[in-house]
Amino acid sequence: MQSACPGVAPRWIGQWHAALPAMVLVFAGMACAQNALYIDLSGDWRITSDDRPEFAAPGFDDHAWGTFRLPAGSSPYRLRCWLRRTVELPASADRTQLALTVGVMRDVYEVYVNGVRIGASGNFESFADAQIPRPRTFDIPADAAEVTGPVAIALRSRWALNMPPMWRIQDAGPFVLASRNVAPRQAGTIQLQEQWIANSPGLVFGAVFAVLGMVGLFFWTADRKRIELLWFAAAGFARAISAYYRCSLLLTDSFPFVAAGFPRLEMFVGNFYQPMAATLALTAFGRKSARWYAALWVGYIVPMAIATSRPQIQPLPAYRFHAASFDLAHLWPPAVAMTVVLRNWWSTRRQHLLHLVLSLLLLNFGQDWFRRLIALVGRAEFLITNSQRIGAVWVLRDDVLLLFLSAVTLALLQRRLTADSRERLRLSGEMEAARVVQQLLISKTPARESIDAVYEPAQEVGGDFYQVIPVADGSQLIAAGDVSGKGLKAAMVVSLVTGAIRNRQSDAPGAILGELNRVLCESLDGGFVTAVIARLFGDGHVVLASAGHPPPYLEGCEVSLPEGLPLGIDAAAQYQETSLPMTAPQQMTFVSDGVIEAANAKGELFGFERTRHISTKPAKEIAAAARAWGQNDDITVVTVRRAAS
Amino acid sequence: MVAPTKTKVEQNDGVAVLRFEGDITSVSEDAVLGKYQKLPENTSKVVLDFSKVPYLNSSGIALVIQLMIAANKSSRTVACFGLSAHFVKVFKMLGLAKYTTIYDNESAARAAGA
Repeated sequence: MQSACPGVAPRWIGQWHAALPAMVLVFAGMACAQNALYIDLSGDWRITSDDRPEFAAPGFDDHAWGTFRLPAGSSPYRLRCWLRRTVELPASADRTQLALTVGVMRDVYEVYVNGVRIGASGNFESFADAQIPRPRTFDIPADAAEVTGPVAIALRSRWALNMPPMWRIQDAGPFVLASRNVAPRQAGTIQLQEQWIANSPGLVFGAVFAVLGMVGLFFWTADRKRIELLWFAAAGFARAISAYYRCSLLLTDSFPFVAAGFPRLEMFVGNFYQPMAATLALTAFGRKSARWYAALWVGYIVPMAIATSRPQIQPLPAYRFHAASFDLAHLWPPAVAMTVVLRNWWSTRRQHLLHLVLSLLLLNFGQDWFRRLIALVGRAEFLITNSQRIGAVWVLRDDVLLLFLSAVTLALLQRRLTADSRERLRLSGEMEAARVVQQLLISKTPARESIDAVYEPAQEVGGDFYQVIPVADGSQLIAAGDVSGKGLKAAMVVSLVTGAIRNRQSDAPGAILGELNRVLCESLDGGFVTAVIARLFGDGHVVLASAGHPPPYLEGCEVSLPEGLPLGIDAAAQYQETSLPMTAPQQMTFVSDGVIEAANAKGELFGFERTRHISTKPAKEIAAAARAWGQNDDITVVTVRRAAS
Repeated sequence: MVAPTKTKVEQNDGVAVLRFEGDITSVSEDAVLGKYQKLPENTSKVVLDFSKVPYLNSSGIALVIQLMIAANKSSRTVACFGLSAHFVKVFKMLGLAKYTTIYDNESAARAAGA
C-alpha cells in the first residue's frame, strides 16, 4: 500500500504508541516535501507456520498462505512463522538508498529483502542477546533491492519464550519501506526511553534490596554467631540481582557489552533468593540439624541443575520437562521452611512477632508456590505475571510485599541482636563480680615462707583454688585443688571448699581432706574435687595428703604420695599422710591439671615430664609455659621456698 | 565445638565391652553413663576400651568414675585398657584402683577374672 501525502503532520507528544501514527504522518510529510519514497506496510501480510529457507526467495509463491494483519495482529502461529509482503516501487525510486522499518513485534525475527538477509532482532539459537521489542530500521543493501521489479519482504519469526511479562507489549507499527533519509528511525529510540521509565521501579527495588542486604551484613559483623543475619544479607543481594535481571533486556539492549550470559547469571544467583530466605527462616529459629539444611539445598540444587542444563531452544516436551524441574526447585525451599516455621510455632509458642513476619514472608513464597504448582500440574508455562502497570511504570507486587516484610524481618532480627547484646553485657558484669569475689576467696597473703602463686582461670571464673593459712603453732597450711568442670557451677563449689577449709576442725592434712570429703559427698551432684594439702612446720618437715590431685614437686622431683580418691565420691574414703623433710632453700611446687594437660594445636599434652622439668622455676614462668603450650583449663601454680631460719 | 563421643557396645557371655571413640568430656554423659545404664542385668564384667580416646578432661573422668561406682554397687568388675601412659598415671593418681584394674591390652582385660 503506497501512502497518500497527508500534508503537514501534528507534533508528537505523550505515549509512544499513541504518537506512532503521528510520527508516520510526520515522516510521510517529510517524504512528500523531499520527493522521497515512503510506503506504509501496515495491513495484510501472508503468513505460514512452516519454516523453510526458500520462503525468503523473491519469486516464492505464497498465495496458498493465510493472511495476517500488521501491526497488532493476533497470530495463531506463535512458535515459528514466516510473514511475506511484496511491494511495487515507483520507477523514480532510488533503490540504492532504501530502508525497512519493522515495528514492535513480540518475537525474535530475521528480515529478508529479495532473499538477502538484511538484519535481525534477537537470536534464533540463544537467549543471550535477546532484545526489547521495539521498532528497528534496517538499511537495505543496494544489491538487495535490484534494479527493477517488486521488492519481496520476508520476516522469519520465533516466539520469544523467555520474554518477561513487562516486555510482552502489543505489536505495533510503524512498518515502513522508505528512503533512508526519511525512515522513522527515532521510533525505536523513543520507545527505549519509555521502557527505561516503565522499568525504573525494578531498578529502584533492586537497589533497595541491595541496601537491605548490606545493612544485614553490617548487623552480622556485630555478632557473627547470629548467622541468620548473614542469610538475610545473602537473600537481599540475591533479590537485588533478580530485580536487575528483570531489567536485563533493557540493559543488554542499551549496553551491548553486558549482553552475554546475564540471564544465566540470574538463573544461578537471582534464583537463590528462595533457598536463601528459607535458610534464613531455619537459622532464625535455631534449627541446627544439618539434615534440614542438606534437604533444603539438595532439593533445590538438583532440579535447578537439571533446569539450567537445558539447551535454550528445544522441542516443547523437553522444554516442559526442564520448566517443571525449574518449578520443582522453587517449590521445595518454601515447603521445607514452612514446615520448620509451623513446627517451631507449635512447639515453642515463642517469638510470636518474628514467627508472624517470617510466616508472611513464606506465605508470599506460598503464593508463588501455589502459582507454580498450578503451572506444574496444568501446563509447563511458568511465566505467570505478578507485575502491575501503574501509569507509565511497571511494578511487581512481590517486590512491594517482600520489601515491606524484609524490612520488618530485619528490624526484628536487629531487636533480637540488641537484646542479646544487653544480656551479654549483664552476664559479663555478673561474671566480673563473681571473679572479683573468687579472687578474694582464694588469695591469702603469704606468711613466713616465700610463697608465690599464679591463678589463671580459663573462663571468667574458675574451678581451681589455693589457700595459704597460718596455723596457731607457727606452721603453714597450703591447700591447692581443682573442681571438675568449669564456669559458675565449679566456682560455687570452690566457695564451698574454701569455706570448709577455713572452718576446719583439725589442722592435720589427712583429717582436713576427710572433713572436706564428707561435706562434698553431701553437696556434690556428680563431679568431684581433687586437692592436696601440705602443712609446713617450722622445724623443716612437711606433712602432705592428697585426694587425687597431681603430686607436688620438691626441687624438681615428683613427691610420691599414696593414692587417694578425689573428694565427693566416697564418704568413707581415708586420706593417708606422708611426712618428708624440706630444707632451705628447697622449693616445693604445686600445680593443677591445667598445667599438665595444657594441649598444643596437635593435641599433644604438656605432660608430667615437662612439668617436672620446669617445676623449679618461679610460678609465673611455669604458668606462662603452660599457657604458651595451649591453655584449655584453669591454671594454678603455687611455689613455696623454705626460707633460711 | 567438641565432637560427640561415640560408644560401641559389644556383649558376650556376661562381658560387655564399651569401646569409646573421641574425647570424653562433660558432653559425653550419654556415651558413658547412658550406654552403661542400658547394659543387660546379667552383665557381670564391664571392659572399657580407651584406645580411641585421645583425651579425658576432669568432667569426663568424673563420668567414668560414676560408671565405675555404679558397677561397683552392682558387684560388676570393671577392667580398662587402651589408656595412654599419661592417663594410666592420672587414673592411678585418682586412686581408681579401688574400682578398676588397668590392663595393657584387650585380651588381658577380657581374660582377667574370667
